[in-house]
Amino acid sequence: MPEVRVVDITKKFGKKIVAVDNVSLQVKDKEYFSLLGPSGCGKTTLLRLIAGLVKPDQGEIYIENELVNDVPPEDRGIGFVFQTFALFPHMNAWDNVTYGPRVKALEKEKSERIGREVLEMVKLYERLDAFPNELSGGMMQRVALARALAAGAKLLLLDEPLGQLDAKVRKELRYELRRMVKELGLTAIHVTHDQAEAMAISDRIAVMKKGRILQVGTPEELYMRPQHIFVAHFIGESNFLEGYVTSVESEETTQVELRGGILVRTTDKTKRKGDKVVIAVRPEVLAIEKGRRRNTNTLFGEVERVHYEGTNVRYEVRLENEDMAVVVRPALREEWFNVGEKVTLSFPPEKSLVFAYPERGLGEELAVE
Amino acid sequence: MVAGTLTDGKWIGFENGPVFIKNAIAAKSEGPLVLVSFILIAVSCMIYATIRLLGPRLKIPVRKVWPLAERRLSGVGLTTGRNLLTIVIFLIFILIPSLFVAFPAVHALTGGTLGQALTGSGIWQAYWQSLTLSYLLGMVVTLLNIVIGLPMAVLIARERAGKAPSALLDILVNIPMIVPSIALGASLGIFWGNFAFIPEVLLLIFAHLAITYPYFVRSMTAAIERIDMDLEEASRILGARPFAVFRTVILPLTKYSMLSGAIMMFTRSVDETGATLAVYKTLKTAPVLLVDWVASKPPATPMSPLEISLGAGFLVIFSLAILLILRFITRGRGRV
Repeated sequence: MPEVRVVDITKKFGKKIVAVDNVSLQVKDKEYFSLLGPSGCGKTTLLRLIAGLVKPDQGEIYIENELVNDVPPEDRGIGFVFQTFALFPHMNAWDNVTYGPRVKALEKEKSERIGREVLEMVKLYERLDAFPNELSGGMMQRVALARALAAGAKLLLLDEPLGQLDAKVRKELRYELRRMVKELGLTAIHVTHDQAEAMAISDRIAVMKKGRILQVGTPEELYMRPQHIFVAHFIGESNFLEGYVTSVESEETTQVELRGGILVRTTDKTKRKGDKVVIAVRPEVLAIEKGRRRNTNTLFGEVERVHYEGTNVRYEVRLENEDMAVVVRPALREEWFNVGEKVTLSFPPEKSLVFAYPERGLGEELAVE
Repeated sequence: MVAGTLTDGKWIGFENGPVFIKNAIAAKSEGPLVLVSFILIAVSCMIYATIRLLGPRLKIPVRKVWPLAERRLSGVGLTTGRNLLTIVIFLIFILIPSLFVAFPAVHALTGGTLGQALTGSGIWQAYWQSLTLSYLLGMVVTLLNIVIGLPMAVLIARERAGKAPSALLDILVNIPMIVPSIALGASLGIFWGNFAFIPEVLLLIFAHLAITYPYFVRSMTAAIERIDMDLEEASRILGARPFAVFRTVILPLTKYSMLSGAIMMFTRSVDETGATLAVYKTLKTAPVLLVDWVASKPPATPMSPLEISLGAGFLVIFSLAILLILRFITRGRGRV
């Protein structure tokens, strides 16, 4: 039975800004679900609608199959973790954590027991008498999490919970978040703009842009089979090559002419001859060799920039037709190329994706702001 | 209202609005009283509304920069000189004239006047009664205003009545503050005068309530607005009903603003002269009594300058003492 269901939700601010545009969504029980998208895409508004902090203009919200549109936030049985932590500055860590049970007038012993349990869960054993302004970011987030859990909610909503933390802390804490949610058997809806974060810990992700959901799927589905060009761009990285379909050779093979007359083959079932298309190829899919070789789908070019990134080396290659292609190769296992070297890039047809050329233009469609 | 220009019914040729009203009240000429009060109130409100609405749009056309001159003006010699001058001006024009009345009181220590004053003999009995009245009134009004002002502060700060009505209320609560206090007093007197059965004490309370109201509401509204909405939302989601949110989050975080608002109200109430003059019948608060002493009105005729200065001196000392005590209590966390 789905834990959260959102049906045709719309929320406008003023007359012009449509924050959430007719969105429908289903989050399964005990699922770790992420809302992913660039700033301003409506993910936080959607989360706040589910929490009851904002009322929708249209549509229904169901939690455990119960319509909650008119139910105030304190009665929805949810926990909320804020990006700014929102810890009460006039209370120490312990009082913050036990606030939920205390304000609901539970007996003192019970409040204390719950408090100790959740603090154990978030691994915060010391500095319980410290005030929020004395704690580090990571500790504050643990307190905020403990506080939300102590309220006993089965549904945990997180609004960019790791946004204010250092990169390293972010990376470590995100796995802990998932571990805790799974151990406690909670359902979690996690809002973030960091696709690596969403990919690492979610069961399923909804990619949003400008108030709409573009695609919902597992991390693997979104990465390998993006159905929208923005998803191909926002999740991981893609090279985009514009061209026209010259011929459809068989059920699975389509030939596309790129700028400068370069012909490549892709696997696609939906495009017809003459269609303007964009081919997406991920940087790690492109093979790179010295000199000029003829393979399937060869692109000749010259290495313009080389970036060493620890695990990978990143090459920016200027192709013959003036397009720019990015190639990413493992740093330790392969030979490196230098700036100015003439190289050949190639990719297998089945590892490329074909999208119709966007009506609003490629730049506009891929824009993140 | 400038107490020093009292004329007690005699035309000296130049009276400002508040003085005129005061004389009109004494002469019981209601027509001119109402007219002048009305004009004062209307003009004050218009000026305030104009500033409030147009102020933010005003641009100061400072485009030119004079780096050399500005650097010289910021030099050490000039700034030290400027600071010294500032202090001297403050002493000569502000501090000393304000406290000057209390200086002759030093003579009271040698003469018998201090003894008379402290034992409350003769005219001093009325003095201590008035002082007690002033402070009691101040306390009552402060407490009452906290109770009725807090909900208004929450209403305005959190726009509970809707965006536009709350903004309107935000402007309206300032009215008792921008209207000259004696015009306000005249207005209050006429209003409450319609209910003749109201005892004078209540009348004084109502008048002071209206006058000190804006101070508290403004201070609390600003303090509540400063509280991050996230904190309130977190509190609600954790299960707190709106009143519990107020009690456990808003109140503790605005403690010091509340205290400083209360102190402002108390001192304003004790200071309050103009409206009280317009409203009182027999009960005299300390400032009203002193006004009578200065004007040598019966039964305080005639008052020697020494006695007047002693009376004023006591007030100054007590006010200073209260301020210091309250400063000590809050100890730097929220300025008094």
